[in-house]
Amino acid sequence: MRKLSIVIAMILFATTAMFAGETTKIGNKAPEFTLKDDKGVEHKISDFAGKYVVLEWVNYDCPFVKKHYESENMQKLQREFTEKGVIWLSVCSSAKGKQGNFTKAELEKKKKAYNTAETAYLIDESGEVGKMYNAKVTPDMVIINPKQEIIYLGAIDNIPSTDKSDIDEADNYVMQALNSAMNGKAVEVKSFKPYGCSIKYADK
Amino acid sequence: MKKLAFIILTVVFSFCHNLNAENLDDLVDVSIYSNVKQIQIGSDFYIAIKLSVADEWHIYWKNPGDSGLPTEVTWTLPKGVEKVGGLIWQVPERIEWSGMVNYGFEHDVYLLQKFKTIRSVELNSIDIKAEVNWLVCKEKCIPQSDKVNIKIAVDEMFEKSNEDKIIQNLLASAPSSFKSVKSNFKNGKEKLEVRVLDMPNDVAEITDLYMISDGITDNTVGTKIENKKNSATAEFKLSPYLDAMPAELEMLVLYKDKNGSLKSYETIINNK
Repeated sequence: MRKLSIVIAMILFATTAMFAGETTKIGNKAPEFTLKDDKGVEHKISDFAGKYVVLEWVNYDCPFVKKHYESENMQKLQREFTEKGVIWLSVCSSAKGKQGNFTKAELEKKKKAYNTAETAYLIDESGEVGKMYNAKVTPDMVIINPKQEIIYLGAIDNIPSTDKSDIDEADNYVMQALNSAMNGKAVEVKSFKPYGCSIKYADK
Repeated sequence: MKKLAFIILTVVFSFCHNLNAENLDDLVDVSIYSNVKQIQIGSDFYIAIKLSVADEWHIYWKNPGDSGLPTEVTWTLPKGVEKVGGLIWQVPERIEWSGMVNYGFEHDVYLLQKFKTIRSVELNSIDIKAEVNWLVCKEKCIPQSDKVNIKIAVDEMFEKSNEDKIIQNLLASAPSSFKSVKSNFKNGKEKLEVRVLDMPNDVAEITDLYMISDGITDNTVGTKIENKKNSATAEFKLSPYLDAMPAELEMLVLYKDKNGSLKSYETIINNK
């Protein structure tokens, strides 16, 4: 019985590893997940089939994230594309007690101060979804098309810095990918190494 | 009594707050040195920027790895002084944290730069300013910067500085530069194979390869190195974010020489 459980556990582990490895690639189907948002509402990725979805890994205390929120670059993108029907999911994979993991009140205050415009702010304290999507830094961006295929993976733009004055000079790959895909054109830059703070996952 | 407790709490809180703020400002201390105190016009010299990093914190190499930002130096030079080559970096440490791999420095590090003086430009002294920008991280990351400057006298006599010996030692232990002619790489969908077919004469065994070109490899997966007689191969996993493979790759090769000493060289190899 014990042996059987070990074999089952090994098979399960191998399938999960294969699944995680394979699904974070351009052209692959977006890995399924269900997460609760800061208001306790559950969101399942497959429920958004038929729509474009943006996943944005976030930690409001990370200087790279601050660059894009203090400049309002991120909120402008959120606003522009959610108005066009895009589902924008900010995902926080900071573990309890780690930077970026806020109490409900703190989070509400931060979101209000930044005047954020995401569709939902998802809490991923276990880090399971972050790891499933191979997210390593904040911000890290994933774009999913209406067929639920990943069409962009990586950095918000091409200038790795914490300097807000770089934003105007940068090529915003998220904006470019969404504009191209939503207008029936091919996405030119499909991935770019994300830059930022490491995600504060739970200690192993 | 209540008032007293409130006052005590306020004082303690503000003290802790100040202490915390002060500590964060002191995480990295920057200083500047030269190997010369005085030089003749027409000579070369080195400037060293020393960054002393607080315990448990780190700053980043020119390829920061999975997160972070490279440390940067911006020079302001007088007319008649020019840079020779790029910044000379020490071999970084491989910093593994929370499933991520970074390349950086957890202790003191020196960044060196060679300069030349132009004979036709008259100078009474050489004033060099450096603006240093870095990201310092432990659990959290803080972008910081500092400005340092140094003055070198110009005269007929050459005079070494007190730091000359340190700088010469740093230059001796810095990675050498090797022009690869035969070494090459080929990549599949997920893997990159680097074939080291030519190397400095004193290489006995290649121990590791760090990509200087950023965003090419998945650093969390270990590099498989196989040493053969006068050659070596290294297999990397490609980064999931790599959009197009460049024609050239810049890398740092770590090796043991024939006496067992640890050395390194930087090289550029082509796609074949």
